[in-house]
Amino acid sequence: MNIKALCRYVFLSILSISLAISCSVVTVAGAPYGSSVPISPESVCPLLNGQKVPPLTLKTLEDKSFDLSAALARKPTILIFYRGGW
Amino acid sequence: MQLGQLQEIEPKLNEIGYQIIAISPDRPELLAKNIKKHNFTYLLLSDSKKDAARAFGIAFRVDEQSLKTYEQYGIDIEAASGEHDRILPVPAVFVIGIDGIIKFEYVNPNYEVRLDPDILVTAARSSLKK
Repeated sequence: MNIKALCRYVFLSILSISLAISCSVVTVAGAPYGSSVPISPESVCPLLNGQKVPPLTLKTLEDKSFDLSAALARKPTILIFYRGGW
Repeated sequence: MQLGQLQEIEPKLNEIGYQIIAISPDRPELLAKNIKKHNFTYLLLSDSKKDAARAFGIAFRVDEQSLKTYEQYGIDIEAASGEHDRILPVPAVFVIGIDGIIKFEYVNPNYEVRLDPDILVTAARSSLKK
């Protein structure tokens, strides 16, 4: 391995580690039901491919509780988050 | 991908074995009005407390400036969700297996850049094979 390639490798490793750390810090700070939420859409830390969806309860249009985890277990799911009817 | 486009590929997604669930920060009663207006056929759920958006790590707090901009367009996000938290989700699409594991995702902070419906169908199909 030449020096240049080694430098690039080290740089990328450091970059990915620091990214992972910054994301985990934000995630811990904003941990699921915490009060801290990122202040810009660019700084979110989404769940990643391979991660499991945590247990969640949502509301139906009739304002009844809906167990998302139970629904996910029934069928493969396309889950869409959108910003609302506006 | 807009919800209208989603509606177009819905039969295909159903055919390969998927259910579609859409989550909105709007209050249930607002959603009920919307579903009538747009004829949505898939399951629409309300996340007015933003629990799901937070748990998926896609929640962000709208700054004062953007809030004012929205107001100029006649959009009141706090009235829509019924919560004074100024939180919105980054638009996102997740393909999830029955094991609850995320197989594919598309999260883009720029809401104008949307997922190509064809890519979603391909990702959905290939996720079933693994």
